[in-house]
Amino acid sequence: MDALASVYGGMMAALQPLNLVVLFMGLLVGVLAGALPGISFVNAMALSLPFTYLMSPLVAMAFLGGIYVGGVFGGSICSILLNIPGDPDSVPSCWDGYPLSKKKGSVYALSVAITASAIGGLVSALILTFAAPPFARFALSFDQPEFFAATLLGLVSVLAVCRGKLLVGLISLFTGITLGSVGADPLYGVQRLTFDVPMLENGIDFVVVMIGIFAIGEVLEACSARVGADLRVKDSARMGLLSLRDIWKLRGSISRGTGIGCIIGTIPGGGAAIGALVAYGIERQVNRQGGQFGTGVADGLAAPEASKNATTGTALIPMLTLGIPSSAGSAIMLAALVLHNVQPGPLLFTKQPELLYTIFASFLLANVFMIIVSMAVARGFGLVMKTNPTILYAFILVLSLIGAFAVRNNMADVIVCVGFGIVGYLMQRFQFPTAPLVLGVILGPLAEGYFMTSIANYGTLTVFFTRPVAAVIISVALLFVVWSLLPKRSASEGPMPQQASNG
Amino acid sequence: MNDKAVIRLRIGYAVLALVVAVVLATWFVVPSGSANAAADSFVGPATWPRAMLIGIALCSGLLVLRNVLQYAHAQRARTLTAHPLDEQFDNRKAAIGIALLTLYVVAMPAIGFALATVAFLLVWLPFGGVRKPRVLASVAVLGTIALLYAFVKLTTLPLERGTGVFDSVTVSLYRVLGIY
Amino acid sequence: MRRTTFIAGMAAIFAWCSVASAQEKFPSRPIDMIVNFGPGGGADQLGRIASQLLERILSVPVPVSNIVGASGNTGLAKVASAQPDGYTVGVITGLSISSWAAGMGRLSVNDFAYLGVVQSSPSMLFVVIDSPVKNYQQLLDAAKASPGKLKVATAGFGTLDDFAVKYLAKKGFAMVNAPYAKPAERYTSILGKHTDVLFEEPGDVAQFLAAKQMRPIVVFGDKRHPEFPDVPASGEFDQHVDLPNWRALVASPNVPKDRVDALSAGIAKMTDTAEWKKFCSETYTCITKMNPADSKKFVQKNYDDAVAFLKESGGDPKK
Repeated sequence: MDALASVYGGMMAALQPLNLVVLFMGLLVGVLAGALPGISFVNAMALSLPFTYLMSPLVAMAFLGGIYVGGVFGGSICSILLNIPGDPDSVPSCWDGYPLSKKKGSVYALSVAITASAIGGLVSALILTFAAPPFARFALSFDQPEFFAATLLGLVSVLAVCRGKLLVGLISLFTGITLGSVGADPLYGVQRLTFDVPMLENGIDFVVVMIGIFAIGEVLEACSARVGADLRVKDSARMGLLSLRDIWKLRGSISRGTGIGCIIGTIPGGGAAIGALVAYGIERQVNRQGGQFGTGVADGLAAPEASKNATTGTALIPMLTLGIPSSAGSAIMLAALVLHNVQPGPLLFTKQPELLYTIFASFLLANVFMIIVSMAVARGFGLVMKTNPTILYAFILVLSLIGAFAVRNNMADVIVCVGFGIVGYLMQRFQFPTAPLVLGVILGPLAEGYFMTSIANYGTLTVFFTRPVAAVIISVALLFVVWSLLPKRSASEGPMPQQASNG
Repeated sequence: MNDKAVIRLRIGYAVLALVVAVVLATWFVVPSGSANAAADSFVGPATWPRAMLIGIALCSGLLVLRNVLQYAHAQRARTLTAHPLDEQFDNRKAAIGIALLTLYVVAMPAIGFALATVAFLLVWLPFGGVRKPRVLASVAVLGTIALLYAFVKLTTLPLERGTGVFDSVTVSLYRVLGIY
Repeated sequence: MRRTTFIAGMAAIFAWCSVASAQEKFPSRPIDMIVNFGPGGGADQLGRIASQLLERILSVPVPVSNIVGASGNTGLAKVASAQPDGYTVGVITGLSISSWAAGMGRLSVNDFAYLGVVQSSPSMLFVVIDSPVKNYQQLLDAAKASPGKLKVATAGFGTLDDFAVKYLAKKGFAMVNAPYAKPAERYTSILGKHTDVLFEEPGDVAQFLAAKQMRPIVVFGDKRHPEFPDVPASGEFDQHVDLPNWRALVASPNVPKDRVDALSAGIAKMTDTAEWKKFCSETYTCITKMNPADSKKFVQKNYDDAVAFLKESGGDPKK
């Protein structure tokens, strides 16, 4: 078959020593950047762009692809070991990942994560390789109402973590969305809720809020705990792949997560964060142990992990076939291609198929090698975490502030970050859920933009119900809301989880 | 802190939230005299935030109701669980941490990232129990230098250099280290 | 004794630093290039190519940072308020100027030192290749026959695109402005047939033109575009508007004149290189060189035109 022959050719090219070395470097940079709280892999990709100037387009794609795949996973290491998400898409991984590592050891938790991620990522890369054009056509059929429906589903999924505290959770969510709307509105550019303060005119960036509330808030909490919170990792943070038997036990969550991630990755405006969130929400509703999510259920970790890595491969589909990036990571890869005078789009398939198939092959390899690189980084992390907690916290703080600065090269963001750190600490003190607020800041502006644009384009509210895909997704979201209002099936809801896994 | 006091506190916060949300929604969502005629229409800049604030107000109102009902019950029924967290947090340490962070952030644009970070570490570490001078100095100085190399040199992140004379000091420091 | 030596030493270092920095050759350390839009877009491409070429010409690194927000005003504010030592330059585009005309931000034409306008291309309307609309006359007829039905995919309200749609509406050709702030979604909308026409500059959709997925139906202005001789100019339909999409490089206004000259000389050399010529021809943006004085005049005229255009299309401009 033609495709298989091309893939074989691509694989041979991708296995050249230079490509492999660069791929490993990219994976290392990605996993590290993702694992460090405060630095996100999108940052790392943007900062690495200049290094790709001297590389051939192929090598550049291998490098950036490595950072992308590694980075999407990397945040989980921090989430599981420290309960601090390294990236917005790793937030759901904290919710069951951290408690799981306390219950069954970090080795098991990390192994669940890497296995689920590898499977999700590989399936996504396979779809990229063999089914790019039909998926691209699928992506084109999505317009603003569908994007709104997907974001709404994400928002509603957040409430899944608020068991028993729905009202407070809603307040947290609405507050987050309100904070997200501070600054210029997306359609008209009118300043909102800025009280004429110039610093607020650029809006409040969600990464800054996330770093503030989760990273700085966590450090402040640990510092002030009377009962010494021991952050030290007791076991060795080694990880490996799960045994086939264990994988079989998690087959439901992994497949659901992978499916959701693959679809959401393709939608422009989707991305790893929404993918992880929606996968968690759906898994919680569908899984037998859903009522105990938040206490350390392996399925609750596997679903978002599979989903977020599943978004990476399919995110490249619209980018490569149409030149339309559907996520921040793929946007940077697009920039790199353009800089190298390679125009993604239908012409790429006809004029430079070897380049394309080599990119596909590199991506497949990346998902496989990511396992090895992640194991090494997690080990290193485990070692680092055995040092004096004071030194560790200090550097987490400094890195967090660097990360906040790096978002927009803006000092104001650092101030806002510390502010939210204080807010996060206080919220914890008063057991006020933090996750809905942060996710509201992320998803709120997106939802508003899509909602308003839909109405501006289609003129009426009914468009959300007349368009089939949008209607289906919105119905699922409404079902979620109803489900969470109903009394839970399992009598015991488990103890309230901490911090980022805060209900 | 006993149960009734906890509930009273909760009611207080909920009422506060309600009031703030309503005030913001009514007057502060868009700047007054906003020239944009669309500001008041449905597809306008004010709709969404206003809707969210109204949502907050509604939920706060419901919370007030629920807590008031619980208060009534608390007077005759069994006790609720007390606030467990008051024993767990050391306010003094938290306040110091917050103060140090704030000073660090204020110092950064003034004296530059390099100097501010060394200063921050030199103050933070002893508070956390790291007092041996050699460890202190090496972690603070070498750590900061490592960060500078990683971020300013390798990724060309334009971290703050400070104003005036501190700008020049930082630039000279970078030159000495081979970053510039 | 040791303490006084220490203080004297620090004072000497401080003094030496301040003096040293005033007398050095320019440029002798990295120059920060601030791109005010996100990675991959037109401004970012300019920033990165300029940074590569200028590094060679000026012999210092020119690292790029993307500082996004408020139609480019956030990054511009950073350039305007940077240290006036010539070590911060930025990209400025017509988009930000139009936003000023619409009342956005606190910046004005005089807040920058202009190093050179380096790119410009006209705005055009595009349709998907198998659209029922075959040419501009058909579009105008359809708009007149069913006002408010056709959808134009634009960059949002308050932009040049918006003014153009309003202008056409005033002339009797009422169409709906379908705002898509993100280019990716805008292009998906036209390719996916969710909108009827796309307002864009040719360089941003070059790949779709080459792949025969889109084609232009009109150029806004009085002259046809040399690369598209079969596409009529709006002037031929008595719509005399000039809506250029231009980009320039700027620095903070109080940079000493000799440094401004050094930077603009470097930029002039950059536009002579083969790599630059390839870049600008592929993005349909090549123009004849402009020195700093002419550049500032160009930008001022663009601003005044934007204010006038906004008034004419029924908007509410800042004075």
